[in-house]
Amino acid sequence: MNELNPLLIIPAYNEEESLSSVILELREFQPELDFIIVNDGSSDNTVEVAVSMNANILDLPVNLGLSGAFEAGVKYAKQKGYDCVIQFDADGQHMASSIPSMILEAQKGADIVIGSRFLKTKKNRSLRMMGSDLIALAIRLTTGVNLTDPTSGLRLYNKSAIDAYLSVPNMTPEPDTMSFYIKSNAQIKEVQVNMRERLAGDSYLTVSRSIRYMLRMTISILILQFFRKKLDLTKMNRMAVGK
Amino acid sequence: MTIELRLLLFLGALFTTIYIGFEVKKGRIDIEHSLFWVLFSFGLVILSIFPKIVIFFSSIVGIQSPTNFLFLVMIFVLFIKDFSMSKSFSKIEKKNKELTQKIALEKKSEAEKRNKEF
Repeated sequence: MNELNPLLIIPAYNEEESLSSVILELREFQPELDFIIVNDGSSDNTVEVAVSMNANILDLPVNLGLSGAFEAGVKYAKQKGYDCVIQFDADGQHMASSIPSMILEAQKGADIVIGSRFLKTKKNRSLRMMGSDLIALAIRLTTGVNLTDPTSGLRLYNKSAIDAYLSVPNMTPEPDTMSFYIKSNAQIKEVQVNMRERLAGDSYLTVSRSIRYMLRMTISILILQFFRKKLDLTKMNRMAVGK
Repeated sequence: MTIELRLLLFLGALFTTIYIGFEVKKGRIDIEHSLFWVLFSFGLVILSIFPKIVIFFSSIVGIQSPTNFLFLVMIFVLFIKDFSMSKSFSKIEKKNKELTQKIALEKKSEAEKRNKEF
């Protein structure tokens, strides 16, 4: 198994209340792991919190939304030569203890690793989970692959996945991109993780935006993904090894 | 086409052109982007003066009322215009995203360079 050099990317938009505990938890439980806070043009003290804790921070001058912020982090990782990135929430939902098992899967050869809440535990019934089921169904119908937790925001991307992310338009840290990766011959693995309720602040995905999000995802997965140019991650992996 | 409709088209187009002229003068819209609206109004003026054009084309496609044909054409034109707006909006968003990321990344690498010097 090859050693990986991972970077945790933490997009943060107005997360001053939860950010410090997220950083503390990472430093306590994953002291070896590099992470970068991507401040997404926050209007609160997110930057000040990160700076006062001496955390690595990438500061976007204006708000781009989750996709743009995460992509900035991926670009940084590529620049610095990291061969693996992990998308991690700044609101305290994700646990530092989930990371080692995800990295292990990547070392075993997965291109994408998703931290799933429902691989072994059953989904509870709520409107939100119905949305998750619908997206999972759309992905299963179009790719044949079953993702137990497609909306999980805890995802790992290996080097080929990073290269694909930065070379193809319309990549977002969202389920429709997972569909794109599956169709691009990426090996996707899920590992069971626990998540907390968010500690503070507002989610990127407020209730009012949920319907819009669902529409965007289902239309994107069911219709628009067919038109996208695909890559071949298996080939990209082989070429990376050959170098 | 009734004379009333022709008059309405003519006056509507005329006022639109004047309004756009003022907006250009105040710098609220670029000449580049006002061209479409001026040409659109110009087209309406022509059609209101020479309604035969509309009648001719509507008889070709078999639409009985030239007015309906005129509306259909206008809807098509506006559809295309609206889609091209969505396209240029996407392009601008992309440029904005790339600029923002570049500024952040460059600021970061400068800060890292400075830290190394100390």
